[in-house]
Amino acid sequence: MNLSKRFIPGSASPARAAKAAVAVLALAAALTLAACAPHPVVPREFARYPSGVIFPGPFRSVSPDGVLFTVREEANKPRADLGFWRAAMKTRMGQAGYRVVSDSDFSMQNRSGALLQLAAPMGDQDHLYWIAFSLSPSGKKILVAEASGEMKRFLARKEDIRAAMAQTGW
Amino acid sequence: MIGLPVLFLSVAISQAAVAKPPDAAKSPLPDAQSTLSRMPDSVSGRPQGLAVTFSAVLQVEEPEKIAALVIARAESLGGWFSSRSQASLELRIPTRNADGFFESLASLGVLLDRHLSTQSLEGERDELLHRLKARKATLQDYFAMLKESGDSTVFTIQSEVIELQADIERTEALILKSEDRMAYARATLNFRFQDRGAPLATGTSRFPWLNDLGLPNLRERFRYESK
Repeated sequence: MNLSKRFIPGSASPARAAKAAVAVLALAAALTLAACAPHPVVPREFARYPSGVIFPGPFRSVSPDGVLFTVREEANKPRADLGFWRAAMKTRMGQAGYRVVSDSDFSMQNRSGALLQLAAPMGDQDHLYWIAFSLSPSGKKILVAEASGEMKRFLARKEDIRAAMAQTGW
Repeated sequence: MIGLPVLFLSVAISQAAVAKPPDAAKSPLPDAQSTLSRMPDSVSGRPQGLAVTFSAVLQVEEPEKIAALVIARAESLGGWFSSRSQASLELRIPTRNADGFFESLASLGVLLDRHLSTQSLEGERDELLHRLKARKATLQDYFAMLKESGDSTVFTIQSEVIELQADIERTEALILKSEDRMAYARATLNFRFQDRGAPLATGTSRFPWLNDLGLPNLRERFRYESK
């Protein structure tokens, strides 16, 4: 009699035990990754694009009238604090031709961050462009939420966008 | 007595030459001395005697409609518009109400490129007032001399009086102008961006992830979905 094939109540076969161990490890890895990954929130009335399985890419969503909302993470390289990135971003966007409407403190899921509100012409339209960002708890990554759209449409949704940015976090 | 009619006539002309708002009752412009007593008591958060200038780009969907609202708001505060075109609006607002007015603009659209400047005119006005007082005292002396002058000196004194009157009027005009600048802030609103150049798509920052920001890159991230 092959003992390996015999069913013994209360015990698992070696193959099943190995599978279970892999599953536990995979779950642990997934939980670890999930703990470090951004948790984006979809603004009200926005539709979410599907993410890839292996390479999920940035989180993307869009409103019916074309306002875009995306969330991604970036490496905090060179390692710097919030104030540094705030100043660097403001400088960079100003040099690129954006007008800084406001630059304010912003809380993303109770973590301190910043919200840069920009405006820029695109063709014959005026667009608003918001960038909210905060550092991860470890300080190794930066969470970046961006939203953009034609000014009038954006303004009609700005509170929903602000709320989604505020609820987005690590 | 030739000097007195000349004085009265020229003072009347100088007063008429000063631009006045549509509602004369709201304007403290008729006389330099009386203007002093009717100056706004104080500007909230600022010392007295400041000329306030404000300019901004107000991004709105319907400039004509918003311009009418802005003008109505200015008039309700005792101000008026001094110039209006399709793309811009120039206003005069009582300085004491200026801060509230500027803040209220944000509710009408997106305020961009705000610029607020102040200039102290109190010293300049005080100097002009002292000069005016001195010139008027000298004028009274000339009038006294004119009564006692003979045929040989009357024309010389009259000539001096006329010159002095012209100087007094110039000084009064300067006082009125500085009082007007202190009493009413100047606000210029442009309803469109001055520069319509689209932002750069390429990055120039030495921090790579900042170069991925921007509208063209953001739109590109949504574009590949259709492929």
